[in-house]
Amino acid sequence: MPIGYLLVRTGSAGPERIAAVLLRGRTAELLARSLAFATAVTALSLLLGCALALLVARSDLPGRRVLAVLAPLPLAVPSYVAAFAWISYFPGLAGPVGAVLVLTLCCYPYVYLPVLAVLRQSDPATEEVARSLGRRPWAALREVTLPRIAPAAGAGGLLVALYALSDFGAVSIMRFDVFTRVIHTSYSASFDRTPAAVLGLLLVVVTVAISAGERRIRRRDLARVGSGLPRTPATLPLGAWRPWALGVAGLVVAAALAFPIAALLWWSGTGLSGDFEGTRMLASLGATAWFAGLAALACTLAAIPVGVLAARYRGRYVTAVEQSVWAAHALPGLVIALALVFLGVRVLPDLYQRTPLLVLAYVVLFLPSAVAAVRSSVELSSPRVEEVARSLGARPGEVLRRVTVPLAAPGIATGAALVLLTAMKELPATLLLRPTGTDTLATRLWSHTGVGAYAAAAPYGLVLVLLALGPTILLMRSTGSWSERA
Amino acid sequence: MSRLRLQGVAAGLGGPDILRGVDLDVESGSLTALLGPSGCGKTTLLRVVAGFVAPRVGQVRIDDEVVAGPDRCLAPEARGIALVPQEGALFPHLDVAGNVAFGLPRSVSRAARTARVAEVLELLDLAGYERARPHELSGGQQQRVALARALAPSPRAVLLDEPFAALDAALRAVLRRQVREALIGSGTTALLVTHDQDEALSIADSVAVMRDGRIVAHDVPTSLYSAPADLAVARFVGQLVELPATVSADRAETVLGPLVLADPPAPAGERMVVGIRPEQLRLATPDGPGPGSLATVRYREYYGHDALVHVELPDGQLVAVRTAGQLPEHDRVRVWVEGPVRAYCGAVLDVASGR
Repeated sequence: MPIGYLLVRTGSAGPERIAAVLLRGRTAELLARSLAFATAVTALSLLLGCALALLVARSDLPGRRVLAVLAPLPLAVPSYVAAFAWISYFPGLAGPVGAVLVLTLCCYPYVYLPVLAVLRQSDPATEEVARSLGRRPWAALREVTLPRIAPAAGAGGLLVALYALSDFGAVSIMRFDVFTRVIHTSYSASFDRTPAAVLGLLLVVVTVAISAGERRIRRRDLARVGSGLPRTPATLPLGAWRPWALGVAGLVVAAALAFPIAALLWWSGTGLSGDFEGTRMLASLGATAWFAGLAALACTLAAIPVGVLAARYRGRYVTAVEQSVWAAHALPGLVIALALVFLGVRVLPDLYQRTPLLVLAYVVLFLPSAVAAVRSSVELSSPRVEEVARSLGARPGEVLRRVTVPLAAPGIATGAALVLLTAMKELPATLLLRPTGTDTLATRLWSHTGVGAYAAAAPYGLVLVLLALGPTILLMRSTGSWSERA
Repeated sequence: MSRLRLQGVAAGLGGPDILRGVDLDVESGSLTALLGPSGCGKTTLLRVVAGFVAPRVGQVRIDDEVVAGPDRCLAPEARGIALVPQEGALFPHLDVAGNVAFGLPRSVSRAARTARVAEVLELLDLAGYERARPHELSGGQQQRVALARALAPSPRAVLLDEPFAALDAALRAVLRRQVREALIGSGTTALLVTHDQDEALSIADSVAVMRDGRIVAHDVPTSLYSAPADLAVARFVGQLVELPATVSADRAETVLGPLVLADPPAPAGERMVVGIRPEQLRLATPDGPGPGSLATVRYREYYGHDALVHVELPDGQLVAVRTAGQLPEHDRVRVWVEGPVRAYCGAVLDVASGR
């Protein structure tokens, strides 16, 4: 629906204008630069995510339990906060190098988590067979286990690519002109919003193409043969590589987690000695929690029926609903926000820059994650249980309320935590759609960083990271990525 | 083909020893079954032979080479012992041909590789399945591919860990025969772990019985069944009817009258147990001529090809009698024992309480 509106908005500008924007030399350059950027971030995230997952799950690295706890935590650091931390100390990083560095450090958990899950579930028997057929330990890992993690790594990598293309805050702070930053500049710099709409649509075309690729990779998912035995796979000796592996793992954690937090603390210390905006801080903290909470509530309520239907009934109608939800997954927040701005200005002026429209944007953006969580959790419980409830005289709605939802509660909570986390971190849609006069932690940080007031910005970043740690920890625990076996 | 020998092997998985002094000799080219209840350590024994668990003491030899001993533990990949785990554990990312060719040395040419794969698949009746993916195969086919993969590089021995456990009964019987024929056909030494007595007796050249981390008996199936080493082995291998007896030189006095002993036990004595297989017991109408004592039929289990009739003896004990498909018409029967029986030291197992 938002995209339909974006299409209408673009169409009304006339084909010549569209062609003029599209055929500008700058547009081709922009496309190439954005794709190169996304490719670099994806490649580096794949490397880091797979290496860390292997170290945590299979190696004899000292301190790998600590690593297992710390490695996914950069999820709690919004990309623009990390970008702010880096640029406040190393202004020279501005540009492609800084943008790639920051996004890689923020995105590698998207690869790390699914790969770790596959590694922990994989049947050790296949590697043992490979050993008995003459493979050394690392060769067995490479030939048998790596092909099994390829689909998970590929799906995670494409998620990273989508994230890199949609990210707005970090690239803007790093002053690196990729799609999102150019769209935002052309939107806010002039009254002619046609270029913004056209470029937004072009970005959507790119991201939808990428997510179509993701779905193809997912489909190739390798069916596991047999259930195997619940046995922990053998640890692989690192040998002489141990200090190197330890050094790299330590460096990643330091750069992705310790450095941003330390920088925020240092700047906050400096800021507190000056004039601290206590009341504004509390107000924006409240706004962040309020909007994110509303988003989590709305998404969860909407996700339960869609998720249950998707898990229990396979029909053309349900598939269509589910697919349209997934399609929204590929849409950058900035483009959704733009579409809703156009919609708000023209069709719903009463709602424009008021809470319902912002929550609607969050629902469009985050419903897919909530649906996925509900669906996979409902699929875990047997439909036989529901049939028993029906045979005992409960009507369908009652079964949903008394059996299905309570059984799926952990998954639903996970979905809610995920929405809470991402809504807190969300920047572009909040920036464009927030109610007039209200500021969230993210937007306050943004406006301070924009004018170089690092000391004033840091406390907002710090509070945001602390706030986001809550749902992140909830998420890590519920997905079992901290336990020895998932 | 090679001979496997374990001497005094003790091993554990970090905790107390699971194997406590295992001696086992697997003849070259033979198929030996390792039979034991779950938790007795048979899978651990298999993993010691394969090289995934190092023995704490004792040694494992293949022919004359010590592969695991006090000062040496060869890596699994250097032993030339192929593994067929439970449920096969096929590589899901490779097709059948890729799975089977996995263990062939890199030096083997492409043509020789294809030929060897075809040859082994033929042996297991899987010709034409080269391009199939593991998840497209049935459970029995997956197990056969797993065995083909193990046999392809002509290993020194093959280890099979409960290979038929996940299959249904009818398929199991067919697959047992196929596996046995493939192993005999390739002349490979094989050690098969199972908890199923029928499987062990029907498939193997010799059966080693394992209990509490030790091998308590190792013999060909026929002697293991008809002349078990002790009462516990007799109970574990097949069904056993136990009667208290007073034993003299060559006879045992029981509630069913005097019975002939196969091997007179060394210490004759008052309180001993005779073990009788259910098919050694005979039933007849109570009024006809012949030996035996009167009994009451309590319960009938009919299987079609044969039947088990549970009768109560004059002293109140319940015993099971196997008949060739005929059920007694009346509740009063005459029971006697055909052929020699074996006497053991020990006490009769109380069926009701399990003690």
